[in-house]
Amino acid sequence: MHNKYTAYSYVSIKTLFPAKSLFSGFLFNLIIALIVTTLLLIFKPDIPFIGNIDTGSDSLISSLNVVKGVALIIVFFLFSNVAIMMQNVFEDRDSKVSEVISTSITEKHYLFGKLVTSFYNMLVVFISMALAIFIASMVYSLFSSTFNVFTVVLAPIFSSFTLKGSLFFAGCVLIVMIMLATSILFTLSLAIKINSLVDAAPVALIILLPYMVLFGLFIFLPTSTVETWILISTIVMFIPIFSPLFILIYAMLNGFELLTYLAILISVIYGFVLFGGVSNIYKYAFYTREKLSLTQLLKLSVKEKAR
Amino acid sequence: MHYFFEVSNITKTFGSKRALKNISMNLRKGELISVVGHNGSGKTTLFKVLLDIYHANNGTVKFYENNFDLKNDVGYLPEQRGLYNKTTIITQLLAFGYLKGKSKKELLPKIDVWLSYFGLNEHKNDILGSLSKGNQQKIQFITSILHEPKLLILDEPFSGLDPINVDLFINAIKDLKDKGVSILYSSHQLNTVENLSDRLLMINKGEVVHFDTVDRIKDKYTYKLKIINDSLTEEILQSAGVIYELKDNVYEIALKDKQDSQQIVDLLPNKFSEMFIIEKPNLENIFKNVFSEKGERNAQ
Repeated sequence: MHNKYTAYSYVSIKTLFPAKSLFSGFLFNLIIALIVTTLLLIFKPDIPFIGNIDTGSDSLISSLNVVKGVALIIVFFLFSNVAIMMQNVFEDRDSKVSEVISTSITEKHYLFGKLVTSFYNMLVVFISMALAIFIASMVYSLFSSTFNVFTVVLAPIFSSFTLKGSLFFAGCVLIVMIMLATSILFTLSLAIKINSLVDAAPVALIILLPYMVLFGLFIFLPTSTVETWILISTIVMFIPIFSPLFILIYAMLNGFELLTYLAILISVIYGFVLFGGVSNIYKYAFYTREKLSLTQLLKLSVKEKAR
Repeated sequence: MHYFFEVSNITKTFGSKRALKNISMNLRKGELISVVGHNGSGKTTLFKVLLDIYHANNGTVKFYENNFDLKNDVGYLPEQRGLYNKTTIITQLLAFGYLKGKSKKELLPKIDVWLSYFGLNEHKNDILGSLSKGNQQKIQFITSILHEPKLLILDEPFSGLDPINVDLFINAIKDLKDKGVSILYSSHQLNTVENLSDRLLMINKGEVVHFDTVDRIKDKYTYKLKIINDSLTEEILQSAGVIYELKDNVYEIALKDKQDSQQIVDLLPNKFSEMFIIEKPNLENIFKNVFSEKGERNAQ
């Protein structure tokens, strides 16, 4: 492999996720999904499936509820991913792998590889969970007279897909990807700080700060106050780190307009600046065992230090 | 002769601790240099400066080799294992090869050759962590040479190896040298160093003590004359002003030069000696000499 970005991404994925562990992960998800299916078949609770959901409620309020749901899912994925990434960076430094790979690649290759690995991890977890849930739904529909996975779940999803709707969905996916990239880079910048795995938990909390702020807002600000939400997201979507999450809220409430595109562009620029800053941190901190404070990390991100 | 690289007046400090002080050295193309010094003398720091892992506070490192790329053309074996413990050996070797810009097609035949050489072919699909320390060291060595580097830096390559495996490593290193690879390595196995190296760099407390061929370094140290002669007395030796020891009727006399033995012979009434051996200092004695305070004074 002549391209070192591709080469390290491949190496990072291959060494972190052996095929065997991917399969056992899927098996675990399937077992859990089948246990839930069995419980549903025994106790028969009243669950509103997609096909039966009342779509008559205010669309803006439902959009905010969708954001709440998306944020919860992202926090779930990030939380599992943050721990893996922190442990991975810690092990690379602790096992001296960092020294060996630094004779072949630069910090930028390393960070890019870790970013790709994180996306790969989240995608695999997502596919694995979706597949397990789909198989469990098929099993459920075999034993239930009222539920059919195709008419109750898949048909309503596919029927709602128009060209405009697909473009909107693609735009939202792009924002979510920027959001994840920002959070992972933030994770990587702080992962270098931990000198033992015990340090990982408090550091993980810092990474989830934007999401905590959002959940705090959901508690104190009812979803019915749509204008206030638009006002807040208009301001916060230009603040680094918080930006992508609030662009998503703005896009869900106001759609894709000039301000949304501008915010996305600025968010992408923030992403590149963050990548450069984290590279600067790694140029020094990756090779030392110093315990660095947040202020030191911040200084390192803007000014290179000889190692 | 063409230099591969040249290091001039390198100084490296970590906070208030000085790890290297004004180190100057060079490596010729296809040459093998051993770096010796006791633990913490600065060997690993020197390697890391060469590899650009550390930046020197002062001094320069110049590479003269054409089309040399520090990220692709160097093989590095660190002092401590730097491998993925939970990954299979084949994945591991391919992974490190990819990072050096090589393709699977280029790597697979070489992996087979080297695994066979070290008798590890049947462990190809084993997890690294399941191998013994010595076998892990072999894998680490293979990762450092698989991409056919122009410069090979080996930090304590023989640590954790039994004598048979040390020989395997030595032969592999000799073979690489014969193929034109320039090699810099550190070791505490002074017998091996003595036989293997073209030149020797001896470092103490971050400073160069010696940088020359083993023979020339030896010439700087006192020879030892072992003699048994009926007419030799302590008075004769005291009058000659030499340092000596008497051990089991054998006089061991320190000589500044090989030729000085003639002066001793001239002083003897009886020229016949039952024993007359001039011993060249071995590297181990020089090492002990240099790294003890007394030795530092005695070194010329």
